[in-house]
Amino acid sequence: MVRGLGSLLGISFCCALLLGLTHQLTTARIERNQTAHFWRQVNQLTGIDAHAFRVEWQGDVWHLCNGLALVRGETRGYGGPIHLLAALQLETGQDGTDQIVVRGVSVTRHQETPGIADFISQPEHPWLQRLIELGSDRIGNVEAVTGATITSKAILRGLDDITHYPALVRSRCPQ
Amino acid sequence: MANLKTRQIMLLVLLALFPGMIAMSYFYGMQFWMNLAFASAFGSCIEALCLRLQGRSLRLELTDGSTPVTCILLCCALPPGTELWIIAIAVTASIGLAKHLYGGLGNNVFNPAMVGYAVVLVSFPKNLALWPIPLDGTTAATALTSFKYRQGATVDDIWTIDQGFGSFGGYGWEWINLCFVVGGALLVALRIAQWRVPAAMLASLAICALIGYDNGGPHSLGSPMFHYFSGSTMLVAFFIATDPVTHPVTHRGQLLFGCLVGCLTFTIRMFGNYPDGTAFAILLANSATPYLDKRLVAARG
Amino acid sequence: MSEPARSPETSIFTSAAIKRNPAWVQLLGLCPLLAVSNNVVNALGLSLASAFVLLGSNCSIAVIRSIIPSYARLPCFVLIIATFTTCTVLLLQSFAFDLYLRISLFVQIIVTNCMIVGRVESFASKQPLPKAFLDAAGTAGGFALALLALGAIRELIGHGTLFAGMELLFGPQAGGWQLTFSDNEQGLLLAALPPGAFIVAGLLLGFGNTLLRKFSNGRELS
Repeated sequence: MVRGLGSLLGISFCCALLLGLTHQLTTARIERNQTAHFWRQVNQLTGIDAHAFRVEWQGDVWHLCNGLALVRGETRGYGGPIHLLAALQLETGQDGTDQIVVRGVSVTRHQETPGIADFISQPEHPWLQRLIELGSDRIGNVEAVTGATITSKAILRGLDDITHYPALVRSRCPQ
Repeated sequence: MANLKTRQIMLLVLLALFPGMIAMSYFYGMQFWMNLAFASAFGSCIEALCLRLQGRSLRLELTDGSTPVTCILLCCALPPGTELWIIAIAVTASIGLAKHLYGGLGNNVFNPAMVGYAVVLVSFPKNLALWPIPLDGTTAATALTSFKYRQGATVDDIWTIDQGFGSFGGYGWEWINLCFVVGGALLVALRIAQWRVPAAMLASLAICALIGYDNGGPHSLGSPMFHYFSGSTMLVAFFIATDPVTHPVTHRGQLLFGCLVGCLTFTIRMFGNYPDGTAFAILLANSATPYLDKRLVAARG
Repeated sequence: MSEPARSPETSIFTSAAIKRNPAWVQLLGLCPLLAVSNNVVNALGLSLASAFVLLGSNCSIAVIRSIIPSYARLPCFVLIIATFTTCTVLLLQSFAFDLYLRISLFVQIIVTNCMIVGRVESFASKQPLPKAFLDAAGTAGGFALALLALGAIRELIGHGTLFAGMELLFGPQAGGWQLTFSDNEQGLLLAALPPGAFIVAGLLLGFGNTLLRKFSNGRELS
């Protein structure tokens, strides 16, 4: 019995050691990958090299001080929460009212089914491209993707949520 | 003897399909017959190939008439403007996949024509979305599609604006459906088709439609009349749901099967991603057939 | 007719890879098999990850098999498999981050793949290291074979391409490996969708069984 317990402890210790070692070796690289991934996303979303701007989140909004704002959103997909990152811009329509226009949208975290609904993590996917340049009033008209209805409707819902508050996006930078 | 009987039944089914085919060719012209000829020829080739591979008798089985019937049903479901290679894929899926991989006529679990249609509908949704409007030679979305994506318009509004609507159903298909009812009545009268399946399907479709009906407002889900005479409702009710191989054998099972098809059709049409849900409704109900058979027989015994 | 006498080592490997192919013969691990096989690069990524976990856990369990108390062997196995799976996740994240983003969920659930626990329980925990290694390599090879065959067929039919997106795994120079057989990467979309996985897997299974039957018939006759 004591011998059995001892070997169990030994095995657990070895496993923990292996895990710790791998973690130690990979953690810097993973962090680098994640940061690079984040900046790639931001640059792709805004269409500019955003390195020049300081990352300064106020709640879920980051004003880039050139009319653009990055907004984080969350919505419930098929497999769990989907985290959205959208580049939004405030535009004044012909009738003088402010309207939010989507400049770019990407999914930063999701647990959707691979092979079916994981296209949402590919920003170049035609369906995600269709959302770009849409005004907040036209998001409801986009059709869902065949085979991934729940996921695509969730994204539309999430986008709809964050584009309905012009005050949120209005620039708070000194003119 | 048994084979002769199959051939006779298939001949009668062909006869019953005729009014509908005439109506289709009236609305869609020569294109329909060309598709039909191509599909039947190609289907017979596939059938011959499959029989040959299995070492079965070409003479007995190729001439039993089931292949042309499958191909006709397929051509009625596909828009007349469908490219020939898409028809070829659909026919291959029908005859090769749904019929012969399951062991040939009489052993198939799923209705072959609907398998072929579903395969190409899922794969090429854009190519199958538009039906011709013969008046001006253009094509338009079907009434069911326009109805579903009418974005808050009332039923009367969309009915007058959109070309896809006729006088009481989808444009063209209202009359085609009526002709299929005539043919279907013949089949039921001759007792080739069960009356229970179409009756249960149409009744459950009407009940579902009545539940969602609010006298034509922006959120109306369509009147029973609209559901009966747009899309392929009658074709499916009388010629596809009644396929004796793929519906249950017990009477109660047939009633349940019909209800399932009706409810699923309505649900997929109004809440699903595809405008016409009949094909998927049939396939889903087909997959429930063995269960219905076993369950009801076991409950009785 | 005398068959060349095969060494027991080769026979362990081929039996694990072909005769007891985890996917096509034992029908194990079908969940990742069907879900991740929509193109070659996903299939390759998952088969490499599974192979790493299989080899790692089989070998280490074979080494320490004498000190694992038999009443607690399953928790031990699961602990070791989970360790290797977590290591795989970390390694993937650090060396193939973009691929990880695409198949992360299915790499994480390798830990519950019954194929791995099955090989460990029935083989590695009773055999010495070299044999366990060969068995794990054969099983991993067989799984990779099944996954890649399915992935290649589905990508070819569904998208009209082969080896698209290999740069996710092999760096930017692999981007040119893509073979395109259709104009706009459009194909029989059904094959790329989940029902296509079942249909193609069923057809492959039937085809494989036919071949196997012909092969064994021929052997019996001779």
